[in-house]
Amino acid sequence: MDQILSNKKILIAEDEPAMLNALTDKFKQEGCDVLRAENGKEALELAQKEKPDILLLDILMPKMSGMEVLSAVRSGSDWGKKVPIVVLTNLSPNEEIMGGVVKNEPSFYLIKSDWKLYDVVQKVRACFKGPVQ
Amino acid sequence: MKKHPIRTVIYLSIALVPTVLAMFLIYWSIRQSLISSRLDELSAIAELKTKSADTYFGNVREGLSLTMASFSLKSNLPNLIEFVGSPDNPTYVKSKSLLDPPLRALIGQNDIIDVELTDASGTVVYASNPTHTDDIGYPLADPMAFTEGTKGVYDGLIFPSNESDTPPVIFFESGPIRDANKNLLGVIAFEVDATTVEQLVGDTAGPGKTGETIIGGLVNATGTGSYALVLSPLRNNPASAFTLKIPIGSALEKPLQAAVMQEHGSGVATNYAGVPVLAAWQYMPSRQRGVVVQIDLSEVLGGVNTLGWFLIILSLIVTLAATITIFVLSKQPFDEFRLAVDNASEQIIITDPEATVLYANHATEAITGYPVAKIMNKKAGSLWHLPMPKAYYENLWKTIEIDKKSFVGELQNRRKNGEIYDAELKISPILDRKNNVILYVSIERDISEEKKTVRAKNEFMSLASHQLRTPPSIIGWYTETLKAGDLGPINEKQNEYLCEIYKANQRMVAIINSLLNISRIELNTFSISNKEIDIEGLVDETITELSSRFKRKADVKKDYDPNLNLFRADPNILQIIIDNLISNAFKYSPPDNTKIELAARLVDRSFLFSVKDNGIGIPAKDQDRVFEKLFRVDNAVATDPDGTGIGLYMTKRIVESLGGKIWFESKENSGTTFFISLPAGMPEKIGTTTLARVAYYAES
Repeated sequence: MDQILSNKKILIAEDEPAMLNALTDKFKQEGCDVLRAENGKEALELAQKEKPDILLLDILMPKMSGMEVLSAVRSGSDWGKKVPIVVLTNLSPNEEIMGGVVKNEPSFYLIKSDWKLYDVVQKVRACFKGPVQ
Repeated sequence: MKKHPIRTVIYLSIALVPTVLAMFLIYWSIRQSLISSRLDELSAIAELKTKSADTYFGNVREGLSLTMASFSLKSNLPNLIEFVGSPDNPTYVKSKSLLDPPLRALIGQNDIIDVELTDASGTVVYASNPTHTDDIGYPLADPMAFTEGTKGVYDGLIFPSNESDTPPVIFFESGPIRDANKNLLGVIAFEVDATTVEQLVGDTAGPGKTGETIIGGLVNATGTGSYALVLSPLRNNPASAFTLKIPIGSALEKPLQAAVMQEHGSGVATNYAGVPVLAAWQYMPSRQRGVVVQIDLSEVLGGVNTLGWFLIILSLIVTLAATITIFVLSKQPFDEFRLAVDNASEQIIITDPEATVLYANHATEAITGYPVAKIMNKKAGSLWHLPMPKAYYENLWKTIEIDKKSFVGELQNRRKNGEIYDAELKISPILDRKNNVILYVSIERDISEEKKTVRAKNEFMSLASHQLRTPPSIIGWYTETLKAGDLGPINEKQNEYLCEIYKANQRMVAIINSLLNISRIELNTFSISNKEIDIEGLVDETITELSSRFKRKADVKKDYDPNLNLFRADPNILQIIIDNLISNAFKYSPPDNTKIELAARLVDRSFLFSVKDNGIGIPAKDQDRVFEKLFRVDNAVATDPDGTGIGLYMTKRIVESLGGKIWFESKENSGTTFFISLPAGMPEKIGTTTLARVAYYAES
């Protein structure tokens, strides 16, 4: 169990059930309160309602893309402007994605295939540790 | 280039025929007017000479007629005839003394040098000039003077005198002396010095240098062998007088032939020597002589001939100039160029150095929708270019105006109908010899369709990358979870198997990433930025990361140029290149003694970077194939069986797409040095994806 992550409310938006399950299990194991969404629209609604401590967003999702959720969250309440968001995808970086990530800080872009689950958890942990890196 | 012989002939005809015709007409009219005025002049001279001669001869004739009628002559001549043999006879002396005063008085009048009297048989019985008394007892020097003189007043021919005491040319004017019963007593003859009249008639001062006057008489007027006898000395042949005969009907000296035949006129003819002349001819009734005044045509036309030559030379110059011009024009098919540019599919605009439109082709109108007439004299693109950032225009003007190089860029345009489209803009400065911009040529191309294609390719690539990576991501995470014991303890053998699954999966991710990179390079869809580079930091970071991944330290020697901070490049792409080269150095060097030497230089606007290792080296037989896709050298397979065979191929493609070069020096078992050279400022390129780092390193 991890003190930093303990009882942190984390929203995971991922339309691939295998990945969603792996992430859910991992963060539950770390003591997080995991909120699950299988599409962008659901993720946005859940985020606005639950105001989680951190969001993990896939990009390619039905109904609404992760980048759209990111923009919508940032343009909303004070909570939305500050909440750390990790974009977790297998899409190659391009200007649109990188521009969106940079513009909507604090946010991070991770390629799933290049990142071990362990490293993803470390990244999330780093978001709560202090100054954003 | 196509030539146009027919067109050339037409041009030449149009240009030259009027020129030659005009010059010929000028020449001809001047020539004719000169000839005509000269003929008038010659006619006037001929008439004047004839009149002067007529007057002169008339005076001589009148003097003779008066003397003939003298009573004293008629009464005293018989005495002289009777006693001519006895000069002392009183009757002879008396008669002579009566005749001497009036007849001697005539000497000197009208050039008369002697007055002689003959008997009825033609023998001279009296000579008024005391120096001519030796003529007494002989016939008259001109026999015709007697024979014709018996019939009436006779105007004798001018003939040369062979006597030393007489002038060189003389003539006789004679007439009969009859008694009251009209019986012929004898003949009175004036012997006249013809020098004056010859000078009068033959004076050449009027007509010119080659001018001359010819006097001729008709001989055998009714016979078949009639001819004109030249009676005056000729300019070219003074001895010809009384000897040169011009047969009537011959081709030579037609004017004299006409004159002796009592005709008058003027024109161009051939003279006695066969030379073309201008001549005027006239008949002189007082002496029944023909008078011809003539001058060589060449003298008359001397000036106009010079003019003719001048005009011929001028025609030749005009011809030559026209020919050269037409030749040059036919070598420069300007009309084809014009047609080609007018109808090119891409919009072409020519502007002055201030970007004011001087020319726009048809495609400009077709693409933008604005009529060419509306575009002319406006700033190029002002009607359809959408505003771009200030930096875009600064870069554009710097490139074309200051660097004087071609600018290539992309921008968005709005057609007249409001439709927005992507365009590629190329502007090239046209320079004069002093390197000043005189024109700009701007070519714009609607690249909307290309952009769409590129976007479609990218979307496909993006989706492919996503779909291809997702399964290995899932495998990776699940294997990791199992391995970590999150779902319960696993035994050693299970762990070993999971490790193999994990490694193989990581390898698959690396291959997918490499292939995606290659696709991006081959599709040319990746972007290149141009930023300041901290090359030392970038290399150090790579080495740290690699040391961590390979779990070993390397003995790294660095040799960097101090002015490397001037180097600008795309940091992501540079890192991919450096990462590949240094990771190879790690992979193929002895694990317990990895030595890497790095060198970086800026030479002549090129960035040179080399990575030297002390590894297995590349066998000579495989060196040609090292950069081939999927090729792996035998000793490399033995050292690292999991390599993809893509790294060096990809690196070479990236380096070359940046305009750089990659090469190596290697000897088997003695290490390898890879070199890259890149242009110091990378050509910026807007793309839709970035290249991904290929992160596969065997992990245990």
